[in-house]
This record gives sequence, C-alpha cells and structure tokens, in this order.
Amino acid sequence: MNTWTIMIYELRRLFRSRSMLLNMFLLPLVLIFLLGASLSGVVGMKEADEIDPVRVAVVNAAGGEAGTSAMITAFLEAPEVKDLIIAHKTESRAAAERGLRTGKYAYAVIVPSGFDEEVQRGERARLEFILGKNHTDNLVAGTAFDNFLSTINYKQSAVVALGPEALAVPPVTAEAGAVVMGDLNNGGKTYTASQFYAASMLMMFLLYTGLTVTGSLFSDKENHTLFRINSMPVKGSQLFIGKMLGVGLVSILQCLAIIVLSDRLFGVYWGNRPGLLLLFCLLMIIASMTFSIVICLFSKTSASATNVINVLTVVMTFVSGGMAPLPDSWVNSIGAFTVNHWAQQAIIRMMLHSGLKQILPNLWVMCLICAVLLCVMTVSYRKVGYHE
Amino acid sequence: MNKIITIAWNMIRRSLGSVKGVLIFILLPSVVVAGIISLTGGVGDGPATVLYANMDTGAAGKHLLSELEQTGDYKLEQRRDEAALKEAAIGQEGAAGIWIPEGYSAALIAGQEPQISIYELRASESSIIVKMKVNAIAGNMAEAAHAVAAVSGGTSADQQAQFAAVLKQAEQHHVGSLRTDYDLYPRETLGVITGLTLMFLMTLVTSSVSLINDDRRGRTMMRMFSAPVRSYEIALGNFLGSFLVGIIQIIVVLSLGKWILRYDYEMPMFLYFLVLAAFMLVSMGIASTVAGLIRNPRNAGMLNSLILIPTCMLGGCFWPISIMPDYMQKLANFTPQKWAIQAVDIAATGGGWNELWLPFAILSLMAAVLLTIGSTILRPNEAGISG
Repeated sequence: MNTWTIMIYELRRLFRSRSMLLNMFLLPLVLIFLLGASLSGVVGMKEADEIDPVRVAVVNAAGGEAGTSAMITAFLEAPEVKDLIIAHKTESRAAAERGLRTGKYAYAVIVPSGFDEEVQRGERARLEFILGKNHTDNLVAGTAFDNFLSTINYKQSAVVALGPEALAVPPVTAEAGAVVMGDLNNGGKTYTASQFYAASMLMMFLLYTGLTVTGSLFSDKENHTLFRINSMPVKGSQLFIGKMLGVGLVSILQCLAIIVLSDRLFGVYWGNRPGLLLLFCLLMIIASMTFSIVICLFSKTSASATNVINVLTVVMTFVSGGMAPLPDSWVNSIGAFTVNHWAQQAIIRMMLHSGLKQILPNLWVMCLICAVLLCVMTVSYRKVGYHE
Repeated sequence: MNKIITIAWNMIRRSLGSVKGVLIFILLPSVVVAGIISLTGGVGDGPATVLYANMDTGAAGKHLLSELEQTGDYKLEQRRDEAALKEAAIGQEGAAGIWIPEGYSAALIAGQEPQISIYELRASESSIIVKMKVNAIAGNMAEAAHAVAAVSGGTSADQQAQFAAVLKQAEQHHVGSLRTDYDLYPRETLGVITGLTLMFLMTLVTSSVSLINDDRRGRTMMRMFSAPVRSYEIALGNFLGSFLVGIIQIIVVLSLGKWILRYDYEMPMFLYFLVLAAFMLVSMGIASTVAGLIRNPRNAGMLNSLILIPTCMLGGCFWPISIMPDYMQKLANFTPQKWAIQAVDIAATGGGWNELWLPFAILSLMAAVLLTIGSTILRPNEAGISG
C-alpha cells in the first residue's frame, strides 16, 4: 500500500513539472527531427546545383596558348562541369600554389605539355592535382577530374585493344542508373537511414532515464524530506521501490510516446514485432535505472551523480555509433561493451524484418546485463541503503 | 577585487577541493575526451571496410573490385551470397555492401542495363563515395562493352575476351592523375575531435554552474548578499570561479592530448586554448541563463544537458555542417559550436587574425549577452525550493 502511495506521488511530481515533460516527450522528437533533417542531404545524394562550385586553378605547364590541351578545355566548357568547377587560368605552378595557400583557389590542376598527344598515342599521360584547404572542395573537384580522366582512360584502352574503330562508336544513353540502392529489408517497408538514428536516439533517451532517477533519489535527500518520510511507518525498501516504480512507469510512457509519435509525425517504421520491441525497451530501462541507482547510492551530491551519468550516457551512445558515423570495426569491437549496442542492433533487425533467430542472441545478452546490474543494485542497496 | 577572488577561490575549492571532486570534474572527463581523441585520431584515417559478393563470372565484376582495391581507400571483404551480404551489412561489418549479379559482364555486352546493388545500413561519407565510384566505373564499363559489341562481330566468347582485354588495358591506368598533397586541409578527425571536446566542455560547465544554483537553493546566496559585498562582486566572483574551473579542465584535456597521447592539433596550442576558453564562456552563459529562468533547479540541470545535444548536432559537432540542408545551415549560425569549430578550422588552415576575428567576436557577443541574462541566477530571493 505504502509503495503505491509513494509511486503515485512520484508520478504526480514528475508530471507536474513542465520542464520535465518538455524534456521527456518533446526533446526526443526534436532530436529525431534534427537528425533526420540534417542527414537527409546525405541519404539522398545531393543535387548538383546544391554544391557550391569549386575554384580551380588550371596551369598549363607548357606555357602560352600553344600548348593548351583541347580535351581539358572542352571538359571545362561543358555545362554540367561548369556547375561544379570554376576554372581560373593560372600562369605558373608557383602562382597556383600561392593561391591555394591564401585560399584564392580551392584546388589546382597542372596540365603537362603534350597531354592530348600522349593520350592519342596511347601512352602514359598524367595530370597533376594539388589539394587545397577544404576537404569537401577537394572531394568535389577531385571526383570531377578523376571521372573525366577515367573516361579518357577507358576510351584509350578501347582504342588500344580494339583498334581505332572504337572511337567512332557513339556513346550509350543509359536510361536506368548503373547502380541501385539495395533494399536491406526482408519484406515490409523500405528502410531509411532516419530509422537508424531514431533507434539510437530512443536508446539514448532511455539511458537518460538515469537522470530522472538521480532527480528522484536526491530531491528528498536535499530537501530534507527524507527524514520526515523515514519517521513515518514506511519501510525504506517500500519507499525506494515506490520511487523507482514511478520513474520506471514514466520512462515506459516516454518510450511509447517516442515510438508512436515518431511513427505518426516522421513516418519512422519500427518493425513488425511490437511486443519484442517493447520488451527490449523495458530491458533497456531496467538496465539504465539499475545502473544509475548504483551510481546514486555511491555518490554524495546530485551534481556528481548527474555528471557521471551524463558522461556515461553520451559515451555509450557515441561508442555504439548512435551519434556520428564511426568506423565499422569500432562498432563491433568497442561498441559491444555498451548496452545500447545490443538493444539497438535488435531493434534495427526488427525494422528490417529479420528472423527471430537473429534477434534472440541480443535478447539473452540484454537479459544477462539486466540480471547482473540488478544483483549489483541489490547488493549495494543492502550495503549503503537510501537514507540521509 | 579581493572579495571577488575570495568568492572565486571558494568556488574552485568546492568543486576541486576533494579527491573525489578532482576525480569527477577533472580526471574522468579528461580521460574520456583524451580516449576519444586518440581512438578517433588513430582509426579515422584507415581504409573503410567494403563488403562484396560477386556472382559474375566475366571480366566486369573482377575489374570493378580490383579498381576499388587499387584506390587504396577500401579493404574489400567477400561474402558468400546476397543473403550473407545483407546480413553482414545489417551487422555493420562494413560501410557498404556491393552485390554484383550473375551474368553481369554478359549482360553489359548484350547491351542490356544490368544493375549493381549497394547495401548500406546508414549513410556515411565512405558509403557515399563508394557509391559514386562504383557508379563511375560501371558507367565506363558499359561504354567499353558497348564499343566491343559495336566493333567486333565475333561470337560471344570472342566478345567476352575482347571486353576482358579492354578492361585489362584500362587497369594499367595510362591516363590518370598524380596527387600532390601539401597537407593544406585540416584532417577530418580534427572536426570530430573539436566537436566532442566542445560537447564535454558544455557538460562540465553545467556541473560547475549547478554549484551556484546550489547556493541559491541552500539560501547561501541570501547570506552572501547580506554580507558587505556588492552584488557585482558576487556575480563576478561566481562566474570567475566557474570560469577558472573550466580553464583548468581545458588545460588538463589539452595537455593530455598533446603530450601524453601525442595528438597533432595542427595549430598553435595557444589558439586552440583561446577558442575553447571563449566557447566555455558562452556555455557558462547558456547554463546560467537556463538555470536562472527555470525555477526548479534540478530540472534546470537536466534541461541544460538536453539543450546541449540538439545544439551540438546543429552546430556541427558530430558531422560537418556542409552536409546539412541550407535552412539547417542557417539555423546553425545561432549555435556557438558552429563558430568555435569554424575558428578551429580557420586556424588549422593557417588563417590569421584577419579571418579569426569574426568567430571570436561572435562568441564574445554571445557570451556577453547570455551572461548578462544569466546573472539572474544570482537573484537571492528565488530559492526555487520545490519538489
């Protein structure tokens, strides 16, 4: 009975605080939106007109107009190239290098004398690129010139291997792209990258449940109301369990709200196993709560507990690859030491309609983690207890 | 002046005075940041793993893979079939998976338009570049196959052989490029590392500002105001105290990275320090503004930490701003992170104060405005004690 009273009071306390509500329900949606919106440019390829053209210094090593390469000139004059590259004729290599260093040019291309003739004779021909200050500009200009060179390379090879007739063959007009994005899905809706980030954000917010735990445990301590409660006929364990039940219930609600709202508002598809999804979320909540309880029991002030939980949450989300794309070797080595990793992988598999057999190992690992954390929590509660 | 220093010194003693304080406020965050620096700095530049399953028996499939391998940017790993490839891509064993269908070469020569599938679990820079490269190579191979079909009238076996010959010739790369790299651009990892450092700084500042908040809640602030100190002295003292704690944190993090992990910041340490210090002032402003506006101190701490992540995302701490859509990039101008990262970028590419003044001016302006608003946190009368 006492446990219920305390739980209901805890719920009331949480729901009365407006900033709490903002935090728990609005913020995750804002984050999913932010992630989806900022990375939408990455998901679909950027349109050419969205890329700022790159200023490229073109140096003719031969000097003067006589040695100008007709191929390069024709390439630079093409309208689709002009969207990407603004060519500046530059006198010498030294001038181009100076321009690169001051930021006047973003990329430089040195055309050796007799480039065209070498290509036509089927000999080795090389353009020299000098990389500039900006990573993206280097990428854009480098790719454009590389594509141009490789087209010439294949043309040259065709001529060398098949004879000069190959030059007369008209270019093919491909209707469909040569490459398609494969569907990872095993039936069901198509998968988008925003689903990945929705799953990782959900995990992060469930980890942040830990902060609610600190709030709940420390507020009575710091307001000195814990004294008063302790003087009532309430057992310490009842108080503790009641508080945690309250926080747990709010977290479950939060989790449901994130799933339902992101599905409705942003069309995030959460997969075909709602029951299992909820089970994973529940395990995640248990893991995160028990973990923060242990931290709270052993820290003296709420500031230090909050600090530790904050740092750990962010680190775990980051290491499991939830924030920024990480090298893949990481995700499966260091990432495996985080709770997020196991739950997130399972949720993504559910989104992709993978078989139950592939999800179950993750479930066992999560259960194991929760069991261990529960034991640690019980032991430390017995030892430290919750009192002033 | 003396009083300001007393208050500031007291602030430092409270947060760093005990072994536990040093552990939580200095050691833990610095080790975390330094760990991320060393890991990101070390791993980020390595080749990305690309998975493939090649069902094609002709020359085209082999050519595509050898061309990718030849760039030196990818470590190719084979998977048995399409299902295994998908499973590996879902398990994030590689940045992308390339699936070359059966009879790909033959279909190319026959003038059909066979398609290569690429699987990715999430978009990343390497997966996008793989896609672009595969697209370019496949397009060129289609041209070559077309030429073979048009020129030679032999049997299909002849055509296959000729197609293979063309591709073999192309693999010699008679026409190509030579890259001269003067290391003018900052390494990609520098952006990520700066972003993460900024994020951790913000978290840390939150905790030192929460000390001021504790004073308000515990009515210590009221007592302070009744002592013979002027209110501006209290404000300056408190802010100076948390600023100094922050400075100590920055110095520890930077020196750990520089001298113990030997990470090359590619710019003068002093400048990096200045950027971080300016950014810290702004985040102090943010933390105290939030704390001052919200009555319940505990929620203030929480909201603060949750303001942090959206602004970090928007400000480009986790990924380069340039990949975001335009309206998001404009929004990013309102976040201090963007300007701090920009300052680091300018400094790393060797820009002087003629460019650096702008981000610094904006950061100082933000700091001034936010700290002024944030000094409401020092109002002693609103203790904000509630459940």
